[in-house]
Amino acid sequence: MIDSYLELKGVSKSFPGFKLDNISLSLPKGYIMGLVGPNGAGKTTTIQLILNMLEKDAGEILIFGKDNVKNENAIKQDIGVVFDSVFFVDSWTVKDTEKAVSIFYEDWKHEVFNEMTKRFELPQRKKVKELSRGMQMKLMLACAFSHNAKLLILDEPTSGLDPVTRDEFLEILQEYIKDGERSVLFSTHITADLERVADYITLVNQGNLIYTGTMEDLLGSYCLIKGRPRDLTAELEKSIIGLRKTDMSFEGLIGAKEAAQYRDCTIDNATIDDIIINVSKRSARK
Amino acid sequence: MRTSMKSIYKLLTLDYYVLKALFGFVVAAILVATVIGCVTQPSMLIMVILTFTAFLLSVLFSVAEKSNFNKLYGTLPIIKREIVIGRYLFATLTISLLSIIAFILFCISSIVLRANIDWFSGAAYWVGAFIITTFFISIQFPIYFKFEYSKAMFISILPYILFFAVGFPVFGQLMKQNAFSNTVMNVIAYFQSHIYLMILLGIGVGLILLTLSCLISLMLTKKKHI
Amino acid sequence: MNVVISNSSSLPIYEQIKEQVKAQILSGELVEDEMLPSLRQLARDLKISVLTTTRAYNELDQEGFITSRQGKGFFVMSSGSNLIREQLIKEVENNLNNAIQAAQRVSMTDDEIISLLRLLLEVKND
Repeated sequence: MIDSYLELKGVSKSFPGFKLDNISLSLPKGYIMGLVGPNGAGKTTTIQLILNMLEKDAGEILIFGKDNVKNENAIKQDIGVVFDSVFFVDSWTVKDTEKAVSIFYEDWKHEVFNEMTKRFELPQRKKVKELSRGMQMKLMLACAFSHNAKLLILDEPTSGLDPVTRDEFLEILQEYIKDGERSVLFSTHITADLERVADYITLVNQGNLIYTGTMEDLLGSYCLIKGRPRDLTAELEKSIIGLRKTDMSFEGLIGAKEAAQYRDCTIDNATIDDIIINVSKRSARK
Repeated sequence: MRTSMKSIYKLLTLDYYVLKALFGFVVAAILVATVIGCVTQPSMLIMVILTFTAFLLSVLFSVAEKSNFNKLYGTLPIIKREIVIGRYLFATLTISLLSIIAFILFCISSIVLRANIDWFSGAAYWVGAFIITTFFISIQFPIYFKFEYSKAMFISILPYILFFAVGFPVFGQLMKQNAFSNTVMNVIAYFQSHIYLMILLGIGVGLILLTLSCLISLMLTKKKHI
Repeated sequence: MNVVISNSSSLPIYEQIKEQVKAQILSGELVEDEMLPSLRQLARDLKISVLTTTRAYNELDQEGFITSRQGKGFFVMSSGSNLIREQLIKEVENNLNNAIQAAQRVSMTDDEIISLLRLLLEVKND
């Protein structure tokens, strides 16, 4: 019985000018993991490595417990992918798309595709180029659902979409994992989407792994600290990540345990964005 | 990693679906070729259709790239080897199909316009066109597989340049030399009485070119980097 | 079961769930042996993560308010409302102790403390 649907162990990949360094993560069956970081952090590279679109320099990637390269064909029967741009011929109709894609999957369910396209309001005869960005994303999603994929991999699927569609999308994802037998890896730089819905989160920045684990633990590990300049002791300054000083106040991120001792300052909950921004500031300075 | 025939068959179907949208374009090209054939000579029809096929197949790469097929391939349960071999197989099948259509049209227009069929002319033009087409494809495909179509487009004009700007004039010059032109005449005379041999030779050369090109493409696409 | 989540509350979401479940057990809205929504159903309804509902339910289970039955789900424990009553009484005791300590710091006498308490109760009951 495989508990972890997706596992990365020490995965690295070098390019001229960028290195994805020693990324590890583990996504158990039945949960949603957010892959978060600023643009250029390495999220898309990570996904391309998972899908074997790129060859890794080091490390191991296991999907459903099997090596992602050696078992590529078999594994991809059970994976559904949505990218931020549609990967169909734009003169295809919705129906043509099904014809072209369904032949590759052993377990294609025509009824599911019909149900999904009806639910997403995708007319069978409409051409891909006539669909809005949101509808194109739903078309990719419909294809992903129609072959009973156990792992859904989404690379910035909601960028450029309006809040209504994004909200719809999150609901669909939650429904998808309802039976506890499917997992989702969701890469995005729109953290608001993830903050409530994601169970696990992996933070990357400039090719480095900042954090991987439960959302709760992450949000519980950091606080935002604000105070008056005179409260900024040398010791505090060292502990703060991404310090911002003005004449009137200072602000930054700090570990939750360390925050406890600074009672004169204002301590607030940190959001994922707060964490990313401040950690990026620190790396930029390095 | 085993290469699966089933997957290759599926990829052939996919390539077909990609080109299906251009069906009207293909029909138009065949009509244009027929007109040219009627105006000059019927066997010219064959030459035009086959060289058009080379162009059509490079359009396949163009559409695939514009449609972000690299991402589609990343999603589907297939491997790179299958994509490469599948594309060459699709090329071979397309050339075969269009050859048959071209030859049928050649026969029809020959009968309609000249009341007889010049088999040698038809066969010779076919062999020539086949070798030219496979020559073009053999150079272009590895380039398209290795580089993005948009960047490769300029390099892929290379075979056309080689053929028309270099090959033709050079051949023309050589023909002015008696020794060369005599040899050529002898060869043509020989093939006139051995049409089947010429056809077999032509097919052989074309297939060898395609196979070599396929092996090169496979080698070039072995490591995956961006 | 009715749970409403506030994003702007300083309480973490799992705490909010726990509070509301306990309040409903106390008020009788949730009765003994009543089945709660499944972890995933609740997560979906509230649009939150499954791990959050899992934590809320697990802690309620540990604290004895609900119990999980293999293959069936989570159910309200019979002793639930008593446990809550006990917890709340403990809280009152703690708060009163704190108030007494604060009062003693400003040197209030026992009588002054009791009068203040009576006054506050009167105001409350009006």
